[in-house]
Amino acid sequence: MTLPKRVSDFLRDRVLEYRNPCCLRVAADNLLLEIWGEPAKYGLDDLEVGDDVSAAMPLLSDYEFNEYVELPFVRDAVGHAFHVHLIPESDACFVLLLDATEEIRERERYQQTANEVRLLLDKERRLIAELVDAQAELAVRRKEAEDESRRRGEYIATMSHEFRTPLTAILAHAERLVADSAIADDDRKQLGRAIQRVSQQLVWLVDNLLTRARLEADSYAIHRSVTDTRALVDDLCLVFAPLAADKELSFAARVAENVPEFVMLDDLHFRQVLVNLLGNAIKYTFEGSVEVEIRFDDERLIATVADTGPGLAEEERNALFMPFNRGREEPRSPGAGLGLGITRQLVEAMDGTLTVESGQGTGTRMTVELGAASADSVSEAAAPLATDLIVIGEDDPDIVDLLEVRLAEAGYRVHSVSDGKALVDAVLKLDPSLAIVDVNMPGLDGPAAARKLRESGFHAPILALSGAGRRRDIEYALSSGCTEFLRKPPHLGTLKRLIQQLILSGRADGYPDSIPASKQM
Amino acid sequence: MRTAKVCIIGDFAVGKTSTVARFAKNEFSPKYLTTVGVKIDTKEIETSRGRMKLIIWDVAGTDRLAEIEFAYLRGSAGIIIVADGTRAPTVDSALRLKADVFDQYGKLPIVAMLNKSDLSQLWEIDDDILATSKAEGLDWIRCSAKSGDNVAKAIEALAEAIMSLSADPT
Repeated sequence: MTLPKRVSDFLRDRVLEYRNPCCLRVAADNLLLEIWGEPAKYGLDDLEVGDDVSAAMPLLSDYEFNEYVELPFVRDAVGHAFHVHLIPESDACFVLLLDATEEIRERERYQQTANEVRLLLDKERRLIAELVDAQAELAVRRKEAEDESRRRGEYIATMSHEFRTPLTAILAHAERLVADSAIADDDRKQLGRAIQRVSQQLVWLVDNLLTRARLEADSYAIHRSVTDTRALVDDLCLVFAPLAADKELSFAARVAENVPEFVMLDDLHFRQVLVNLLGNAIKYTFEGSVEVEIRFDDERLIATVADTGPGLAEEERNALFMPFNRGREEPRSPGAGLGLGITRQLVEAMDGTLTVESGQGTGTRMTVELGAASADSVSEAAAPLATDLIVIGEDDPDIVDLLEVRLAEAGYRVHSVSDGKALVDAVLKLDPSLAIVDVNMPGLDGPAAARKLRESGFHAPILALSGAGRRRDIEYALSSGCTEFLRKPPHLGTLKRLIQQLILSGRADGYPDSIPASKQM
Repeated sequence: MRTAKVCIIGDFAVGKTSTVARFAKNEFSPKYLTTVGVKIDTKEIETSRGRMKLIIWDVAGTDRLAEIEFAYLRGSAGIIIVADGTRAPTVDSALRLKADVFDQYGKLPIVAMLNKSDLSQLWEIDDDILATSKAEGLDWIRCSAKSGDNVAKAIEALAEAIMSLSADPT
């Protein structure tokens, strides 16, 4: 390109003015051959011909000067900013340095802004990603809350139905008993039995609901006591044989000969397990039989409930223990679908196992296996003595009536009070063979009353009753001086046997002393 | 004394200049200042094979190498690749840069520094990313220009590799 001399001179002057060039001629071994321009601008003013330039200009180290190289925007360790042109010439190289201080500063300013914006965008990208994750999490939570709300709604509807149906039946039967004075004895008995049966189903339902609530709250307690195995099976037969008969099913219960008369287990919950299994078997069996068999092997109690119902396909077996699973709905059967899930949890809480053998069309066998040490038997012949007095501290008049009637039937003398303070006074005055205390009595609660009695020298057994049955209630009662604990409403057979056992053990320990005349009722 | 040119490369704002400042001057500034072009610094160190002068070319951040960066990298004896542990995409950039370098200059000694290990609460690099990266030839060393953690160790390992290669070029 040819330019007018005036212009080319102008350009040369501008470059010299703005770029402050410095030119070095360097040999292949980095020795300085010649230097022109303004070396001071680049910190090279100390360089002399013959010096090794790589010390002052490290960028020249390890460069082979065999082709033209442009290195724009170079900044050295002390901050000089320049463009470098390496221009080879035979066995040497011209190194041309052009000042780039202003240019680099300008570029840095733009690039700084651009990079900061990119970093902000990057941060925004991350925040958006977090927001999207949070929204997704929120959607999942909302769906879970909606599902939970729907389940609760269905649960309340189911429970309302499950309570309403038997309550309506009880109400209708009771109204008929009250309204019809001329009702025949047989009809009256039949209505009474119907009320009894339906009430029993309600008690089971409430038991299962309470158990479920306790299992969910992890406040569940297993309380082992002496249990009469044959009496337990007899009780089950009394309840379930008529239910099976109503459906024209045969019902059988067998207890193997080697099963001990008494074993140590949680009577109430073992009973609840068998009630659920038998109730389910009868519910889903439409012809044939339902059987329960109790065996004993190596300190383990094995209970099997077998039916000739339609059986379960594999997928049904897998869903069997889910809450609110109601099995096949044809024909629809009553029940909340709570029983089997709770049954398995109960068995596991008692350190036992529950196994299911079933196939479509082959019926179902459910087997429960629990550790249950044989217990010293309590002689049925050990009848209450004329001196056996029981003092009851209970504020619920219905429970008091029930206990008074049943314990009097069993041959005990009974004295009842309705608060803790009166209980302490009565026990200290009458020195009974046994005291029964309600855990939640007004004034002084049962365990507090028991503690006061122990401190006052009362040594005979104290039986605590509570509707709650939480672990902390049991621990509170037993640590306060109560001898045993039973949940309300107590099973009357269990209550009578436990009272008998407690009084016998109290007698063996020498209590009560002979009753002084002054303390006779 | 053996001199060796090493280039430090990586995506923008991963902490290359801070790493060099920590290594060469034992300094750290929390303020982010962009690099334009290339900054050249030196540091003499002791290796198992004798004293060595490292001439460190701190190349402006980029996620791909172009003609200008190739000019800066010419004559390098080794490469320091830096990524930001709080920005996962910078690891991908590092993998691309390593491939560009190897394509142009062959398999040079390389050290991979995963910077900002002090910001553990913002860390984005999980074990899967590390494993994938390792399989592709970058075995990351977690380090922090801020605390100095592992900075000298990583660069000195590269110096040892360079010395070892020059002693036994096979």
